[in-house]
Formats: sequence, structure tokens, C-alpha cells
Amino acid sequence: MSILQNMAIKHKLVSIIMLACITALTLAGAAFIGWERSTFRSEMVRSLSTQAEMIAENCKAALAFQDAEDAKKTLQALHVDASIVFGCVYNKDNKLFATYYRDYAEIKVHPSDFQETGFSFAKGFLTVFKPIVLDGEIVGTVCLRCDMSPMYAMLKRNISIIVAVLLLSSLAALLVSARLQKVISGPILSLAQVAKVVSEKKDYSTRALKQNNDEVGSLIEAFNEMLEQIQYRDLELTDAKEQLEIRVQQRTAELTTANEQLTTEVAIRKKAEERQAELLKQLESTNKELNDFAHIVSHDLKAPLRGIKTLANWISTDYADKLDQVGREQIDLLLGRVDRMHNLIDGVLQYSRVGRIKEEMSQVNLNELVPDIIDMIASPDRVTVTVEDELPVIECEKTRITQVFQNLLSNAVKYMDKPEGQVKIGCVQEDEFWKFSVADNGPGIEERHFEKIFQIFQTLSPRDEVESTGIGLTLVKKIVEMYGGRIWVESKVGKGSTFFFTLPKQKVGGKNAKLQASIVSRR
Amino acid sequence: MRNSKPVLLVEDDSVDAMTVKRAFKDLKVLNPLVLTTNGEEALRYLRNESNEKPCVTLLDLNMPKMNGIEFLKVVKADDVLKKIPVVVLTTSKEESDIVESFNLSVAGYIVKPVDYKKFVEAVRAIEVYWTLSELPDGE
Amino acid sequence: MKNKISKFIGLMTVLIAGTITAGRGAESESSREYQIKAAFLYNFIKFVDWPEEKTTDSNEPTIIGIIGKDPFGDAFEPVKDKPVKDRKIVINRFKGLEELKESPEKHPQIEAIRKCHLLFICRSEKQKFKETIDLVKDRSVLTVADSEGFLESGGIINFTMEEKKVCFEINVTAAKRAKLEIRSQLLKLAKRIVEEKPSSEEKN
Repeated sequence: MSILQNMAIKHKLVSIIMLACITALTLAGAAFIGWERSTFRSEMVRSLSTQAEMIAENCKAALAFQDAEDAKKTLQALHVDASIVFGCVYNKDNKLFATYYRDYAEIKVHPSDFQETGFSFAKGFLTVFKPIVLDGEIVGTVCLRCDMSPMYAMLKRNISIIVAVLLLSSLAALLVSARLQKVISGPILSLAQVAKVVSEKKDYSTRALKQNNDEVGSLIEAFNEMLEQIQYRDLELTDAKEQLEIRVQQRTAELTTANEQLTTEVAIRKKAEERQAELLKQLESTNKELNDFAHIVSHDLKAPLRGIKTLANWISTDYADKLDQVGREQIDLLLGRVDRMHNLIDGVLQYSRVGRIKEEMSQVNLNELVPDIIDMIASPDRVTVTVEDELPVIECEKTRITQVFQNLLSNAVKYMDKPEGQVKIGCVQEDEFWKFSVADNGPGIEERHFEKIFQIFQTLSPRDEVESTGIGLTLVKKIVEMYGGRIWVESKVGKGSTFFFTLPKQKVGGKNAKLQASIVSRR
Repeated sequence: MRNSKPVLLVEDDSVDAMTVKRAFKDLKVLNPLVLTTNGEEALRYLRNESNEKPCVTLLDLNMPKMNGIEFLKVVKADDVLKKIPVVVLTTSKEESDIVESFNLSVAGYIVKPVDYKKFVEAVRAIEVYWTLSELPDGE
Repeated sequence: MKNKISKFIGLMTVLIAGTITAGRGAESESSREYQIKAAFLYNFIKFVDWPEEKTTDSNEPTIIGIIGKDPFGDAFEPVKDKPVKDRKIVINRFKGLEELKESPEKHPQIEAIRKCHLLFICRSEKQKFKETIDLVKDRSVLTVADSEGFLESGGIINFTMEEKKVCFEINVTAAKRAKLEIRSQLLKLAKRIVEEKPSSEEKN
């Protein structure tokens, strides 16, 4: 089968047709021969039987009257039929009554071969037995034997004729099919050719020629359509490719520009970063310098204060008896002023520290811290400090937030003018901020002072009434703003004041940005 | 103090010196007080053979010419002088100063209280301690 | 003396035995001959067609008559029950004409004789052939005998012996006269066919 499959279409078609024809012819021939043989046989049998019957009929009397001669005479008539080689009559005892032998042969029929009736083919002879019936009684049997060889010879002849016919017909079939296969193979081959050309040269403009209106024709049509589609697609593709190339070029150009820009930007950024690093370094060193400076300054400024204080003390102690009331008052004032100076220096130092001295950021639970601060400020009994709301946990420097609350609370307590002082600490969420409030029912603040109070060294009460550095709120403001929040006050004179400040909920990372901004702006 | 050797005071601020003096008086400390105003002067005293070696040195850190740390370095390098216990008596709370001082084997570090009364308490503490503690018998 | 006697007795025994056997042989021979003839008679019936008037009733048997001194004996035994052409065969024996004439049953007997399909006229009736034949003329009787000159007397079939074989000869004219159809097969087996020259008798 694979041989068949791999042959060329032409050969395939021819082979198939030939195979079919030969098979048909052979079958027909064989059938014919077979049929002929069997017909011939039965014909032989029939004819021989007929002859036997006739002999039988004619021998009845001979048998009845035991006239063997007559029977023999009758048998002699068989001479006419050349194929009959032997004929005989048996009497009713199955003994030979009369026989006839053809000239050239004496083939005896053995008693064992005897049959009452019927026929048999054996060794190239047909033997027929027929009973001779006279008046319903079998009086004998006729046996005729004829030579089949002529028949076989004829059969052979027929076979050879048929074979010859078969060959001739096959030849004719070959010629015809070879000629006619073109009808099928022609269009297919041409299609194959076109396909080959198309695939080799990638020329999609060729088309196959439709020759017939059969399935191959439809195939060719479909093929052409396909080619058209391919051609069309091809064009589209080429187009798209061109477009794509253009776009790619554009994009490449864009990208190159962007790249250049980016490189420039990167360079700029790098410079900026370098600058930033530089600045940070500078900042750090400046910071350190300032720190040292502040430290030294405060230390050195404080030193004489100590001396003054000590001496003042000694004077008041040693020469107490030499001093009158005024003198003692003055010494007291002197001491007071020394303390104030000390506090101011501390305040300034603190103020300068905020923002420069970095502490560790930690999660501070205000619900724990604030009560501690409240305890620390040790408000007098008449003033109650309460926390109204749940306070959040914020990430900040603990010291700083302590300073915030401490300052606000101590202010509220310090300036309390009511017999029942109430300080309330609250906290609400506002967008992304915590809004804290410290509300008191103290003296209140006039609106025109709302801004001033946050300035350094500003106090509202004369310093002799309430000892205040005037740094507290400034410090608070600085801390709050450092964390990215806001502080303001709402107040009604005589009723009380509420200080609000906001702190962002997320990490207080605004510090650096602010600092950077301030550095840049300073340049 | 245990004995009656002098106490060397290295202090540049006159008021502070006076304070120590006064404190001694208040506390009835009998040891004589030798006053030097800077490290150099103190060294000169110590080096001077004719001077009695102090039993304790009270040392300020912030001084001109030679400050306390420098003085300490010199003294502690000296085999003889290093035996004298030094108590730093200074206004500085700086950690670095404390560390450095103890690195140089000071026997104590006291921050001068601003308040005089507290100052006296501090001196008393020194006195009591060094009365209790053994002191090496120098020359 | 004794030897001679015994010899003579022996010889006589042999002779007697021989005669007996010969006689028997002769007898068996002759009985065999008549057996064959009996079979032949049967067969004749098979090959002869009687006219319609003789064979109207199919139930009626075919009658074989034997007139005269019956030589057959029990020769018919083997075949007597066999039907021929679907008819039974009946064998009637008749006395010879001489005796018959004197018999009181003459007429019925003669009628019976005439009824026969086949009449075998024995040798004993040799002198009376013509008479006997005459008796049954016009009655379509197949006359058969085994004597010389029977056919010349008007008999239809006559048995002959040829080399110990039973043969027969046929007088076709006589058959025609008796309105009997003798089949060609039988005819061709006859050793001799006799055709009478047309005579005045015939024309009657």
C-alpha cells in the first residue's frame, strides 16, 4: 500500500484503473470459465444420460428376451459419438450383457465401479449409469462412458482465449486510462505546479487555471481564493510592517530623546544627590558645631550665673544682719533674676536642640505618657487635669512629645485663675491627622495675641507675676511644625482657652523634606 | 580626710574656689586646701619636692592653659603622682567628659550643684568617703 | 465272479443315475426352456398392444391361456404374481380341442379361450393349429406356440430354439389380422418375420 501511496498521481490513477479492470476481467473470465465448465459438464451428463436412456429404451426388449446381440447392435450405435469410449448393458443380475468399446481403447469398467444409477467424473472420463426399466421393473442397467479430454481441450482453448482477451482488454484499458487520467491528474498537477511556484518564489499573484467543474475545480477555486487572501494579507502585512517600522523608528527616536533626557536628568539628579550628600554632611557638621556651640555657650553662660548666685547667697547669709528689708529684697530679686537667666539659657538651649538633636523614634502610647506628664507637672489640687478621649499611639521622639504636652499643660495650670480649674485633653481624628486639644477654663487670651504668644520670649503676664521664660509655646510650635502638624489657639477672654495641635498619623518623615527645603531656600 | 595632708584644688573660677573653701569651713574640714587655678600650676605644685603631696585632688575640667583632662593624663602617667586619688568636680555633665575621666582612672566624678547647700553636701560626701577609705601613704 | 457282478452293479448304477440325471437334466433343461418361454410370454404382453375393445376395463386381468398339454409346469411360478402394464396376469389352462369338443363345458370353455389375451397353443395341438387359430380369430388373441409351421398356420408368434437359446419368430400379417400392434422392439428381436402374401381370406 505505501508503494501505491507514493506513486505519482498519473501512475496511481492508471494503476488503480488497471487493477480494477484486470480484477474485473479476471473475475469475469474465471466466472465464465467456471460457468462454462459446469454447464459443459452438466450438458455432457445430460447428453450422455439421454443417450443412455435411449440405449436403455432400445435394449428393453433385448434384455427381456435375452437377446445380447440385439443389445450389442444397439450399443454399436454409440460409434457415432466420438467421445463415447465405452458402453455396456448389464442385466438385472448386474452382469455384463453387452458391451461396446471404442476402437482405440479398451477400458474396462470394473464391477466395483458399478452403480445402479447416477454419474461420476473420474480420471478424465464421465461415466453414466441408467437403469433399464420395463414395465416398472428394472431389467438391467446401461453404462456409458465418455472421454472428457475433448471437453478439457476445449476448456483450455477457452481459457487461453479468455486470457488473450484479458490481456488485450487490459492493454486497451491501459491505453484508455493513460489517456483519460489526464482529465483528473492534469488539473491536479497544474495546481501542484502553481503551488510549488508560489511557495518557492513567494509570488502570491499567480493563480491556478480552473479547468473542470468538479471537486478539483472547486479545489482550484478555493486555492486561488486562498492565494488572493494570502496576497492581500501579505500586502497588509507589508503595510503593517512598514508602519510598524515607521512607528518603531519614531519610538526609537522618542526613546532616544527620552533616554538622553533621562540620562541628563540622572546626571542632574546625581549631582543633586551629591549636592544633597554634601549638604547633609555640611548640615551634620554644622549641626555638630551648633550643638557644641550651644552646649559650650550655655555652659559658659551659666558659669557666671552660678557664681553670681553663690555670692549673692553668701552675701545674704553672711551679711544678713547688715542688710535692711530693702537690701534683703534686692538680694532676693537678684537671686530671682539669676534663676530667670538660668531658665532662659536652658530654654534657648532647648529650643535650639529641637530639630537638631535627633532622638530615637518610638511608638509612644499617649494613654500612658500623658498621665505621667500630668503627674509630673504636679498641679495643685484646685486644678484637675483630665483626658477626655482615647489617645492614640504615635511614632515620635518621646522627649519631644513630652515637651509638647508638658509645656501646654503646665501653661494651663500655671495661668489658671479660677478656683475650680479644669484642664481637658482631647483627641480626634481629622483626615490624616490627629487633632489634639488642651482646653482650660483659665483667663483666656485676647485674639490679637493669638499669634504673638508663639513667639520666643513672649509672655502675656508680666514676668514678675508669673515666672515664665516665654519659650514654652515657641518650643511646642517648633516641635509640632517639625512633625508636620499645626498649632493654634481658640479662646474667649475670661472663659478659657483651647490649644489645638495636629500631628500626622503616619510616620513623621516630613522633617527631612522640610529641612531640605529650608536649606535650599536659604541658598 | 583620714589624715591631715593637704587637699589639692585645681579650679580656675574664683567663686567656685571660694565655695569649696567655704564648704570646708562649714564642714570643719581640717585638711589644708591648696589652690591652683590651672593644670600647669597644679603640676608645678606636685612636682615641687618641698611641697607636701596632697591626699586627694579635686579637679575641675574646664580650665585655661591646661585643662583637667590634660592634667589627668600627665598625672596618671607619673608613677608617683598617679597614686593620688583624683575626684573630678566639674559643671560638665557631658558623657564624654565622664568617660574620659574614668578612662584616666579618676576616683570619682561629681557635678557641681548650682545650689550652694547641695554643693556643701557634695563636699561632705567626698570628705566622709575619703575619711572612710584608706589612702595610700605617699611620701 | 463276484468282481464282475459288482462291476455290473456299479455300471448299472451309473447308467441309471446317468439316465436319471440325464433325464433330470433333460427335464431341467426343458423346464428351464419353458421358464424362459413363460418369461417371454410375459414380455410379449409388454411389447404388444391389444385393441381397445379387448382392454377396456383396467381392472380386468390379462389372461394367458394355455391350450393343450401344458408343458410349462410351474414355469409361471416366478412370474405369475407380477403385474404387466398394471394388470394382473391370470393363467388359464384349457384342454385340447379334441377333448374340449367332447366336453359338456364346451361353449363356456371356448368362450373362455376366446377371452384370452394370449393363447399358447401347445405342441399337442399341432394338428389343430389352424382350427384353434380360427377359433379365436377376430377376438384379438395373441397366438403363441413353439411348433414348426405355426406361423404358416396363421399363428402370430412362434418360439424357436437356436443353439439352445430360445428365440421367436413373428407373423406380422397375422398380428395385423388380429388387430394387434406389435412393437418394433419386439419385431426386431424376432429371428424371422413372416408376411403373408395377400390372399382372399385376408380380404374378408
